[in-house]
Amino acid sequence: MQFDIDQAMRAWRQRLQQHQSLEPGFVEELESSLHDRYEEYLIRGLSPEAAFAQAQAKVMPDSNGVAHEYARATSNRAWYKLRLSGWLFLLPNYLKVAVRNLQRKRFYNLINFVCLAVGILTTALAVLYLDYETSFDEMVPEADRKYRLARTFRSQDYSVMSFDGYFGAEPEVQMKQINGIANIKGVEQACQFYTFWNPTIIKTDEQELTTENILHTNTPAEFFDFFGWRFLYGSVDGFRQNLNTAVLTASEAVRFFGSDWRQKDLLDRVLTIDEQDYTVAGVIEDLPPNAHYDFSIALHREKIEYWGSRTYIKLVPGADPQRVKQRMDENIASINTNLADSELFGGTIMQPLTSIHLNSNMLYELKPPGDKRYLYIIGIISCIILLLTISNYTNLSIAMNAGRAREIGMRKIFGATEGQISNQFIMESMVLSMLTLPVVGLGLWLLIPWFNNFMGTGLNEQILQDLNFWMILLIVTIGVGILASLYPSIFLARHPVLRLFRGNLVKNSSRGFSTRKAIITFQFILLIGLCSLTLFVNQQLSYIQDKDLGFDKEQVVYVNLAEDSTKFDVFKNELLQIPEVTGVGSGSPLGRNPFNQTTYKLEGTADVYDDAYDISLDYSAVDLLNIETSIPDYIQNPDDAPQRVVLVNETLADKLSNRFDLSRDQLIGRTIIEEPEYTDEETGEVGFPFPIAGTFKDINMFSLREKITPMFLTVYKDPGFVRWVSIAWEGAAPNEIMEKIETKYNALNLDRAFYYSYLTQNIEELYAKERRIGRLSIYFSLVAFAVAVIGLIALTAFLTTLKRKEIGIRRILGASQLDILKRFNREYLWLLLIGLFIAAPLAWYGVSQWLSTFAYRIDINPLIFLLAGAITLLITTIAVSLMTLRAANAVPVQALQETQ
Amino acid sequence: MATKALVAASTKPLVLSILSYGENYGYQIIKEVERLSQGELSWTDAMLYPVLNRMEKEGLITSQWVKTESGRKRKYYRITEQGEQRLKKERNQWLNVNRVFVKLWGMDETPYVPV
Repeated sequence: MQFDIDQAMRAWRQRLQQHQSLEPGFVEELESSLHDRYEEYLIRGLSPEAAFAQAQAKVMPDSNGVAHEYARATSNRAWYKLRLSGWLFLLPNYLKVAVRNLQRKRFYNLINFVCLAVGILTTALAVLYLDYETSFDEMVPEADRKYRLARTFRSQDYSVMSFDGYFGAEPEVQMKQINGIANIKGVEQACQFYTFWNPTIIKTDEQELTTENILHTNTPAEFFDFFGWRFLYGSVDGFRQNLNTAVLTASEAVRFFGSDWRQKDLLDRVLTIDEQDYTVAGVIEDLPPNAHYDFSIALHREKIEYWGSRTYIKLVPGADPQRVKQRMDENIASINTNLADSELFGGTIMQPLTSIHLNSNMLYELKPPGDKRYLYIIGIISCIILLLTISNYTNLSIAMNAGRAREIGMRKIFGATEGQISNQFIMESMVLSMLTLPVVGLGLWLLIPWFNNFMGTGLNEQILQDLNFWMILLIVTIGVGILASLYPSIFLARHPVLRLFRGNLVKNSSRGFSTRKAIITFQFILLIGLCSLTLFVNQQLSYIQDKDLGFDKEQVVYVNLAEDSTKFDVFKNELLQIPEVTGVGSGSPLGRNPFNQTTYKLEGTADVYDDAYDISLDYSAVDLLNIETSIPDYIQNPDDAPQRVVLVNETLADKLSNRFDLSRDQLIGRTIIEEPEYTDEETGEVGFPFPIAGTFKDINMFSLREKITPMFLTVYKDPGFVRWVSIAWEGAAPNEIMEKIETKYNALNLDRAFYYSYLTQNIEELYAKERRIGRLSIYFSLVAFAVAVIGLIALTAFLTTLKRKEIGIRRILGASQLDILKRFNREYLWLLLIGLFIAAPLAWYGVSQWLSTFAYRIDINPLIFLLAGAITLLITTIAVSLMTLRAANAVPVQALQETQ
Repeated sequence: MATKALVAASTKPLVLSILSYGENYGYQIIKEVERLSQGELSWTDAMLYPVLNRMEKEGLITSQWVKTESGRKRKYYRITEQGEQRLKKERNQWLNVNRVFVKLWGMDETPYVPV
């Protein structure tokens, strides 16, 4: 093909003008020079193409810089000559234009503002929550060297170290244990304590109050040194030097001595607990909410009144926790001979202090532990909302700024580079997002207390006064602003100059793939995913509520008695006189957290198992709880029943039947030996043997997360010591019946705090976390839907303005309003179906992960996904139709009269 | 290629000097400077034309579009009175500096002795 110099020159000139903005005179001069060089290269003997290429290279080696060079050389402004960065120079102009645009397109900007505020608010809340949950126990000094000492016993991990002799351990034995631990090489310090959650009466000379969470310790100095709780009054010395002293937390001090306790001299005041006097030695700050335990009063006692203690150790710098644990296990005999001799002891565990909250799965935890899964859930949900916000902004931004094509064109003619134009839009978005800061601040101020209340967390309510927080929030806001506008600004900036003047930037065709559709599909995916997640979570929750647990849980209350059987009989008779009371019993309360299991074997066999739980109830308790047994006669007629029978649950019966090839009837009468590793020194009897008297239907005693395990139920006639009295009633409201019960209790004159707990309450508490997540996911889903719907409304509003002429013509040709609505909605239907197909597997995966933590759970019903899709479709249709209806109602002639 | 600063500083006096010999156009000026400097100074169009534009605005040179034989247009530049005076000033400044260098670099008859 012949090289056409004119064509090449024209093409070069066109390219130059498209991407640069130069005065015509400059272009002509450059052209002229290009031609001169081209001719010279021709003379030198190059081919036309090569000559042109070389000439081009010589004229403009740096194709972007020509305009810049011209501007620099010809500009009159002194500071511009200083090579100031473009955007800084233009900042006042950008701001002016930004403000002007905010005022013009109020509707779209308001929607963007709301969406940005919601997105940033949710993100801030989620970040605060995540930060709080991961910060547990970090306030303890040198927390990286501190560990809790736990142990493995049978197949369970215990967060309590037992004493040699359990309840009967003398103070010297308790001290030997803790000192033995402190003496292990690598351990710098050790302390022990136990907290008692049950309400106890404390008397001063002025009043008596009921207090919970009392702490016993016999390592007073080490305890305060380890945790570093700050003394507001008094000091650790008084506490340490004298036995039977007490340290109160600030709120307890207020409760007992008034809010002016500082003015009073508290140091010699006496508190009497259980007939023992304690002298006040000091007051400390209340424990922060993100400590893994809490207490109200610490007592320095010689002996901790419990079968074990919570033991904490601090390692010397540089010590290896694994080595220390090994040494501890090897030397366990010098610490606790009982454990050393027991074959059930599986070693100690060193739990890093800061990992207790999120990673602990042990028995007898102090506060309900956090759960990493919920951190993920909240993190994911807030990400979803943020993504919805950003995608809304992207869509709306492109739509909103479509009308600024000419402005962009003019800027390009005057010399703006693509970078400058996209910077302008990014800046406008940052202005908008920074405007949301006060709203976000207000929202946080209102929401944090509510969130704390709802989730039981302790987010810092004073966080708004923390400058660091505002800095981080500012950075997040700017980040979100930039992210949200990144795509639209690049999209708007890329358009070549001439095309900007020809038509609208946004095509109004509804066919084919476009970014707008991709973004809407993405939003549908998020919405359907979130919606189905919420539906499943709440479905599981109602399943938990309604599942038959194997006993009657309604209208049963447990009242604390802690007395022997004579008092119990008196109390029982009094209670039975209340007409609404239908049954009174005693025994282990149901609806609780797991406790220690017991080992057992079938007599005559060798296999020893360690997975059974031991509970005991009297005949009336079995009756009032309506537990199905194989001995109904005895239950109904306890007077004719034996003193004690032991039943096994169906799970255990099946297990033994299968293992030893026995039928159910053959099992009855066989002997079980519990704790076969223990031999009575005096009688030589191995373990605790008893015959199997019958079976009972499986009950879910713990949370439905736990699979039902073998259980021994000892049914007895006369209790020895009764801790809890179970009372069943009907025909009265709970508070009415409690009043009557309390009257009867007070008539016993026990001088002890009256406290009680409904069985339904116990069970509900097991699922407190799940219920919270259920409600939280509903709230978040509503927010997400609101954000998405607002965006959809705005987008449809814009599209209908674009398509006004099309709608007008269709109406003239005879389409009804319904037809127009259908047409507009159809576009979204396909996108929603695609979204459904993508969201369903993802949600399936997420939900099944969560459900797998429950031993008893719903099946994942695929119809729920369709339901989620239907809900989304319904809401979308309503939103879109509302907007479209307005346009469809417009008089066609007026629509057509408008010029574009 | 000499340093950027040197190129920038020397552009105006070089252009004025060349134009003092008669009118000329952009590409020719570039070629002449390249020839005289034996390739050391190799200006690009993008660098020169803006400077010419600036100088015209300052009134040191004037320009005129001229039709060539082949029918194309070319912009010719001519030095003005003001330009001549500026050239004189620049010439003195450069020669002054040059004198010092000549002495320091031992190209003078009297050898240089540092103080």
